Amino acid sequence: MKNYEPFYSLRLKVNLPTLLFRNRLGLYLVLCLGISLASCGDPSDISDELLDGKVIFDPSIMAPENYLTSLSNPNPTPEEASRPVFILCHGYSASTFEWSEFIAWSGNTEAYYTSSVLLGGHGRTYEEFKSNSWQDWQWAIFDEYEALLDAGYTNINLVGSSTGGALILEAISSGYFKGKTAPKHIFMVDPIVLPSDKILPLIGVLGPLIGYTEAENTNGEKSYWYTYIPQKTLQELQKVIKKVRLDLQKGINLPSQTSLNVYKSTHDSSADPASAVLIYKGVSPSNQVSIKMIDSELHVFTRLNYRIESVSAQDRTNQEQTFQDIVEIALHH
Amino acid sequence: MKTILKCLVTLLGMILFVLTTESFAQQTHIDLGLRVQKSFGLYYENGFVAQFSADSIAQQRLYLGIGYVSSRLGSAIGSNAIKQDNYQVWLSYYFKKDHKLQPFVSMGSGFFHADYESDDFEELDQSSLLLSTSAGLEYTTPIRLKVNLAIGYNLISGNGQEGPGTLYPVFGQLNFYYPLK
Repeated sequence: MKNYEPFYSLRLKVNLPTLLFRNRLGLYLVLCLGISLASCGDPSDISDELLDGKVIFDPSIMAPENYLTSLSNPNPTPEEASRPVFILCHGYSASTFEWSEFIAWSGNTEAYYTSSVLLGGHGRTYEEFKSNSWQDWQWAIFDEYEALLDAGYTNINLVGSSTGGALILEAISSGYFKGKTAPKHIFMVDPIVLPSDKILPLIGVLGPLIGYTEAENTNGEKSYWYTYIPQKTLQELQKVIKKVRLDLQKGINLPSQTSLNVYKSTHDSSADPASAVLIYKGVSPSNQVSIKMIDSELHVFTRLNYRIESVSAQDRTNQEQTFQDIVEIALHH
Repeated sequence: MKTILKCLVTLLGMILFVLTTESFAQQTHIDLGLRVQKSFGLYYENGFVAQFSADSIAQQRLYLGIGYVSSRLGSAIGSNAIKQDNYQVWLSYYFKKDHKLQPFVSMGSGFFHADYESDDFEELDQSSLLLSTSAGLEYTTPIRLKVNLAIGYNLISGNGQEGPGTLYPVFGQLNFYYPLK
């Protein structure tokens, strides 16, 4: 009978750090583990029913004239050019669907126009989403803004939800509006500056190990939000919100004729409510800034369709009042 | 969860009480110092710390510490960062006491408060109990100054639903201690 006792004793005496770092074999094991984890980077099979796949795209890609005022009405009369235009900017991993309820609520109004922008890299395949930076996301907003200015529109209003809000704040901070006709009003619904998931800042370290994460979307949401979230895009998200946070820390000055109106859920599992505090403290002049805390547990509380959470009467009231508030401010202030 | 936390805090309080009482009855050692603390993803919060130990308790391996760190002495200096204060108390246990480089582990508690400066945010949590664990290395320099580097984890932090949104879980600390006694 073989005696395994010496091997057993060795196992007891050798501790793991010694094995890993004093022994080349251990080091190779660590490297191999890291490489194997890093190589499991992308989902192997993406269903055609998902936005991430190669069949479903955001409808604004096929028919942008149905979404962008610069294309649907490229030659406005002077009266039309003075009407408010809302550039609606959705959030990270979402699509133009996020603001579809505002467009539906607006009906066939002639009092204002809506331009529903699809952020760069969004509404397309997983690979395209993965390959775009936050600057690419933002350029879609700039493209429509400049197209509206070129067409002669003078009353442009920006509306951003979640990351859309962060991208607008970054645009102000980086001086994008200098030398241009500034937006008259800016509206933000649940803008993200601080993530609710406080591990996000570690994505640069942890991300390469996980490759991607999977969102828990409802069946309805799967056509309009990405299900598979590449870690590279989470790194981009972290980069832009970190930049905005540091910009707010230094101070962001609004253009002189622009107002900023922020609507923020008090309980939000994606964009921490304290994001509103940072905006309140970081944006000046303070008399051009209005913050409203909304009693809600929804992230982007103005979108109610296809929610996994049950939608309450209070949620519907919040949505209605916020839509009314946005339109009221744009039409009468 | 809250019951467990209350039990842990009570237990920590009892240990601190016993240790403090014992320390002043025996030969005590006092270190005074400065702390630089950085939450991963948020602010620098700096401040003052003190540690106490006694010969008779765990062969001077167990330290009781108290400290105050704040963004007022860090990221909020000359900026719009939120002013937030941490009142900290902890117990540290040092290994390899005869080595120049000493590993240690700590368990801490305390109180956190962020000042949101407006009634608009009164519905948001601005204060919290602190409960943390950390581990690190301490190096004693030839001039008796101790340099101490640690990484820690706040077991209670904000998550958007509850807790202050600027209380982050992962943090690093750089401490400088000078032995007074």
